[in-house]
Amino acid sequence: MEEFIGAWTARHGKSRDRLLPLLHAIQEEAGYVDDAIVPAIAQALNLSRADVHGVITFYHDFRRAAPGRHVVKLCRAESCQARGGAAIEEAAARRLGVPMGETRVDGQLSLEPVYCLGLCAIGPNALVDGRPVARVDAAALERIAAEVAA
Amino acid sequence: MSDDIEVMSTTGRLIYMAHQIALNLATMGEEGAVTALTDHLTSFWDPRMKEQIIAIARDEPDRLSPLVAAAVARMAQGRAAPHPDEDQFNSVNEVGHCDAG
Amino acid sequence: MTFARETDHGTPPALSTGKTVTLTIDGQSVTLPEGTSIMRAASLTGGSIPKLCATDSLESFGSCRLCLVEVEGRAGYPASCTTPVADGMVVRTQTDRLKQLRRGVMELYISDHPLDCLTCAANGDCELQDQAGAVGLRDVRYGYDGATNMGQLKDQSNPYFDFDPSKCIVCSRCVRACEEVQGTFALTIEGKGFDSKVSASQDDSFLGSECVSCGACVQACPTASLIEKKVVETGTPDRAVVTTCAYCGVGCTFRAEMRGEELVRMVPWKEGKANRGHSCVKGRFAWGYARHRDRILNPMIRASVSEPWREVSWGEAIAHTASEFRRIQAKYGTRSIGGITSSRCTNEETFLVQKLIRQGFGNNNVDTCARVCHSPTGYGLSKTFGTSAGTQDFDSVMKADVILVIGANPTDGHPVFASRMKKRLRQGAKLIVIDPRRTDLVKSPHVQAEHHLPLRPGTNVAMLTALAHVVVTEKLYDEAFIRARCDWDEFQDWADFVSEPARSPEAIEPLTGVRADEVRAAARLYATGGNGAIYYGLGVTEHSQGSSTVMAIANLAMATGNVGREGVGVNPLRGQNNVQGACDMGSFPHEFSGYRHVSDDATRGLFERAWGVRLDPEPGLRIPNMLDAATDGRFKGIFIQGEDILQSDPNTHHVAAGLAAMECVVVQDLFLNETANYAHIFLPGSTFLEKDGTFTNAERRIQMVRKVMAPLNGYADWEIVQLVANAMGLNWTYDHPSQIMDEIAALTPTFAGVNYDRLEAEGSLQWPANEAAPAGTPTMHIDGFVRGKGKFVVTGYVPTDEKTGPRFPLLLTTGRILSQYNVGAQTRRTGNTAWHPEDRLEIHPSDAENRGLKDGDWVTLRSRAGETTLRALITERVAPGVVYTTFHHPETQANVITTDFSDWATNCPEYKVTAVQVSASNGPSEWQQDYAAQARNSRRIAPLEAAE
Repeated sequence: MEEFIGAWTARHGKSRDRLLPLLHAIQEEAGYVDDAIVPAIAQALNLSRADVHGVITFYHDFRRAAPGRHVVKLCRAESCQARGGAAIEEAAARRLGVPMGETRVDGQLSLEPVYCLGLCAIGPNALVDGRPVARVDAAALERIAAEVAA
Repeated sequence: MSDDIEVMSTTGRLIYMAHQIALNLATMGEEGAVTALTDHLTSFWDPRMKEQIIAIARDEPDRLSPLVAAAVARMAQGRAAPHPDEDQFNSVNEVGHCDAG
Repeated sequence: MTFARETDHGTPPALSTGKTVTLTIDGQSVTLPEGTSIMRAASLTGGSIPKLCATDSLESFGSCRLCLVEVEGRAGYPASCTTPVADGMVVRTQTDRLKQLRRGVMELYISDHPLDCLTCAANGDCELQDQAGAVGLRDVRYGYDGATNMGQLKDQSNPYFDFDPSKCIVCSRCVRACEEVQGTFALTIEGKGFDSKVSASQDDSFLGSECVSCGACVQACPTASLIEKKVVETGTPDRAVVTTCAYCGVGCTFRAEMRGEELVRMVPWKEGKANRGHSCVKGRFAWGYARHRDRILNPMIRASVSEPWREVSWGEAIAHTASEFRRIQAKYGTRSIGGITSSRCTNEETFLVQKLIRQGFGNNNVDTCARVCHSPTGYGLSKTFGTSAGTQDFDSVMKADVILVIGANPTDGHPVFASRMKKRLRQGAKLIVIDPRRTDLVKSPHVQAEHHLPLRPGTNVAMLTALAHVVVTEKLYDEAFIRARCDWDEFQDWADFVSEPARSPEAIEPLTGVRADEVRAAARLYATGGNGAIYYGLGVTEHSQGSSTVMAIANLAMATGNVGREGVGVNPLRGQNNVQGACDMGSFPHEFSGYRHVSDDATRGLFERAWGVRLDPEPGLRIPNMLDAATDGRFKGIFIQGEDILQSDPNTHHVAAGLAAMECVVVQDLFLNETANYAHIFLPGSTFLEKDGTFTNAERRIQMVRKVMAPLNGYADWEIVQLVANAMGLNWTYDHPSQIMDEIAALTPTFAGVNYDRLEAEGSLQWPANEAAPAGTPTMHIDGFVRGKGKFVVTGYVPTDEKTGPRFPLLLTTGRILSQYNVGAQTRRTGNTAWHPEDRLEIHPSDAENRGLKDGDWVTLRSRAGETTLRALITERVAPGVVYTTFHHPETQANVITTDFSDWATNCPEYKVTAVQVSASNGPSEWQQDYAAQARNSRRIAPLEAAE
C-alpha cells in the first residue's frame, strides 16, 4: 500500500488538501482504508495520524475494515422510512444473515446504511454492489439474496 | 589519525591547545596570528598555565611551532614586570580582612 | 497572591491594524481595535457573555452556540466570538430571548453530562458548572434515560493527567490547543454527531499517541474531562504564585497553584512574555523531584570517598568547609582552590558564588557549565557584535520570513519556543535546517523545511563559509547595511576569503556530504527571502571550531543585513534556565559580571572598592584546566554548586581522575549526584520553589523566581553560600536576594536599571536596562553594534583532529530529548521516565545491518576514550556513518565515550564529534559495572549514632 500511496502522490501531489482524494483512491484500490495504513498516509501528506483519523471517521463512506465480497446498502432517509424502510431493514438483516452496519462472518456480504439515493418516490431503495434497486420488498429481497450468494 | 591519539598528559594538552589556537588564527597572517595568540594566552590562560608554557618554550623549544614560540615569548615579555605574588591576594592567614557587605 | 483564575476574554486580541471602531454594548459606548470580537469587547468593558468553546488562547471557533447576542439591524442571533465589532454597531448581550436560547443550549449539554459536581475533581474550577449557573439552568427536560456518552472508560495512561470522555462536551478546545498552541496535531474529533469523541491519534491512549504532554489541552479543557492527576488527588488550589521555570533557557513563567504548602499544579502564566501562556512536559508537570525521597536534606561530611557519609549539623558542615579550604590554601597556595557556579541557580546565587571565589578564595578560579555549552557564543558574539547574548526576543520569530536553524533541535530542547516557531512556519515563513540528523523540524506534521542540509558532524564552518561564498559571489549581500554598520575594509577581507573557489559549495561537497545546489538554494533563500533569523544551539558550539562557527554565523547575518530589527538576528538557544544569567554574573574565570575582563583596572577597582579586597588581575582556570591542574597535584579543592560535572562533562575518566586527586570536593546539590561520589562535603541544596531570586533566559529577560514553600533543607542556596563566606571571614549581611541584585546593579552597567521593585511592577526586564535603555532592550544593536562597528572575522575551517578510521569508523553525536533534561537529575525522578526510560543509540539501518544488529539489541559503543553499552534504536533520522545518543542516564554515561578535544578558543568540549565503533554486546561494560559498584559504595550514609 505504501507503494500505491507513493505513486499516487507522485501523480497528484502531496499537499495536505490531497487527503480526501487520496483516501478515495485508497478505498477504490483496497476496498477500505485500513487503520494500519494511516501512518503512511499521514507521513505522505505531512499530516498527523490524528488528522487523518479524524477525517476517515467523520465520513461514513470511508470504511476502516474490508467489506464483504458484495455490498448491500439500504436507504434510511426519511422518504424510504415513510415507505416501510424500517421493516425492510429488519427483514433484510434476517434474510441476509448480517446485522445492519456489519459484514457477515463468512465475508460474503456487508449490509450498510445509506442516506438518500435520490429515488424517494419509488422507495424503499437499495444499492446492490453499486446498482440501484427500487421498491424493495420481500420478493426483491429474495432476488438480492440470490444475487449476493454467488 | 584518531586511532593513534592517546589521552594526553597535561603538558601535552597545553601544547596541543596552544597549537590549536594558533592554527585557528592562521588566516590572519603571521604577524596578525602572533598578536592574536599573544592576546589570547594573556587574556584566557591562568598564571600557572602561562608559566608552564613559558617553561616549555625555555626547556623544550622543539615542542612549539615558531608561531607559538613567538607568541609565548611576547606574552612572557608582557609579564616582564614581576607579576604579583599570588599570596598578595587575600593571604590565607589573613581571613576577615574585608569589610564588604 | 491569593487564588483567582486568570481573566479569559474569550478570543485573542485583534491583529493590530492601527484602526479602531466605536460601538455600543448594552448601552455603553466603547472604542476598540478593529477586528476585536464582540465577545472580547464585552469582556474588556466589564461584561461577560456566557461561553464554552471560546478561550482567549485560541482562535474563535463558534461551535458551542452559548455566546449568542443580538445586534440591532441584523437578523438572528450571531455568535459573539466569531462576530467582529463594527462602527456604530449596537449590541445587546443580555435579553430575555438570549437567556432562553442560552438556557436551551446549556440544557442540551447537561443532558449528556454527569451530575456528579460535588465529587468531581473540577468542582469549583469548571467552566461548564459556572456557565450552567450563569444561564440559570434549573432543570433538564429530556431526562437521562436516552443514549448518553456517560460511563465511558477513562484514559489514565499519561503520568500526569487523565482523560474522561464522559465529561467531555466536545468543544474542541483541546484539539485546537494541540494544533494552534502546541503545533503537534495529536488530537482530533473522531466520528460525527452524537458519536463525536476526542481521540488521541487513532483512538490510541494518550501515552501511546503523538501527544507530547505539553499540557495545553488540559489547560484549555473547560470541564474535568482533561484534568491533572494531582488535582484529582489533592483538590483544587487555594492560592497562586507566579514564578519562573527552572528547566531550559526559554524561561517560561508559571502560576504555581498551591493548596497550603503543597504544590497542586504549575499552570503557564498567560502574561509571561517568554512563553505567552504555553508550557512543555517538563515545566508543566515534571516538578515532582522537589519532594522526591532521594533528596538529601541534611549536610554530610566524610574524610575520604571510600567512607560512608556522616550527617552533621549545618554549623559543623559550614565550619568544616571553610577550614578545609583555608587549610588547602595554606598548604598549596591561594590558587589551589576554585569553584563552579550553577546555571540552575538564580542570578543572585551565581553572583555570590563567584564573589565567594574572587573575594574569599582570592583568585579567579571560577567557571560554570556554560563552559560546556555556550562559551563559544560568548567568545564569538563578543568578538563580532560586542556582547555575549542573543540579539532578539522570542516574539521576534513571528516577524521572521526565513528561519535558519543550525545545530539545534528546539522541539526537544526548547519546546515552548519551538511551538512559536512552528506557528510562524504554518503562517508561511520558510525554514532551512542545518543538522546531521533529520530532526522533527525537518519534517513533522504541518512543518517541512524548505532545505535540510544534513552535513557531516564537524563541518559547520565549511558549510557556513560556503553559504557566505554564495552570498558574496552572487552579490546577495546588503551593501548599504555593511557600509553603515560594519567596517568595510574588514568586510572586503572577509569577502575575498569566502569568495575563493576552494570555499564554494561545490568544493566542500565532499567534506560536508551535502549537495552543492541545495547549499546554493539555501543561501539564496536566506539572503533574499525577507527577514532572515538564525537560531542555533549546541550543535554549533560543541565542536573544536565552536567559536569559529559562531563568528561565521554572525558574519552571515551582518553580510545580509539581518541584525538590528525585529524578525532577524542571531539567536543562541540557551540550554539551562539561567545559563545566560550565570554568564552575565561573572561566572567565567576571565571576567567580572557584565563581561568585563579581570585585567581591566577600572572594573577591578570598582569591585575592589565595593568588596574591600585586592582582586587577582590574572584570569583563573577553566573547568577542564582545573581538572588538569588537579591531576598535576596543583589544584586541591573545589566548591561545586548545582552541577554534575562527572556526568555532564566530557571524558568521564579524566573528570573522575581530576576529582579523585583533590583533597576537598564540596558538592551543593539536591541529590547525591554522580560528582558527589567523589565529594568530601555535601551541602543539600534548595529547589527553585524554595527561594526568591531571578533567572535570565535566552532572550536576556530577567524574571522573578518566587518562593512558594519553605526550603526542605533549611536554607535557600544563597543563604548557604553566605554561611560559607562568613565562615571564611567575609562578613556578608544579605537578608534578601533583592539586596544582592542591588549590588549587581551597582557594579554592572548593563544591569544598572534592574531592581526587584521594577521586576515586580513590570514582570520582566531585558538587559541592557540602564540609563541608555530605561525600558530594557528587546532587540539589540538597533542603532549600531555594541562594539561600534560590526566586525567581520575571517573564519578558516580547521578540521577536528577527531577523525574516523578503521578502528572507529562511525561519528557519534550527542543531544537530548523532550522529556528528559540534561543529566536527568530532576526528570529521571519524575513521571517523565514514561517516555524515555533509558538512553538509546540511534543508528542507521545500513550501519545496523552491517553489524548484524536488530532494533533494541544491546550494543557496545567504544571510542578511544572509553566504552559503554546501551540499546540500539534503528532509524533513518541519522545518516549512514553517524550515530546519536542522549546523556540523560548515569547508567549509560555517554560521556565515557566523548573525548577531551574542545573548542580552540573556549575549551567548550567537542561533544558533537567522537569517532566510535559499535558492536553487538551482551551487557554492561566493565566500566559500567565498576562504576555502579563504586557509586553504590560511595552513596552509603552511616546510620545516625545515638547521642551520647
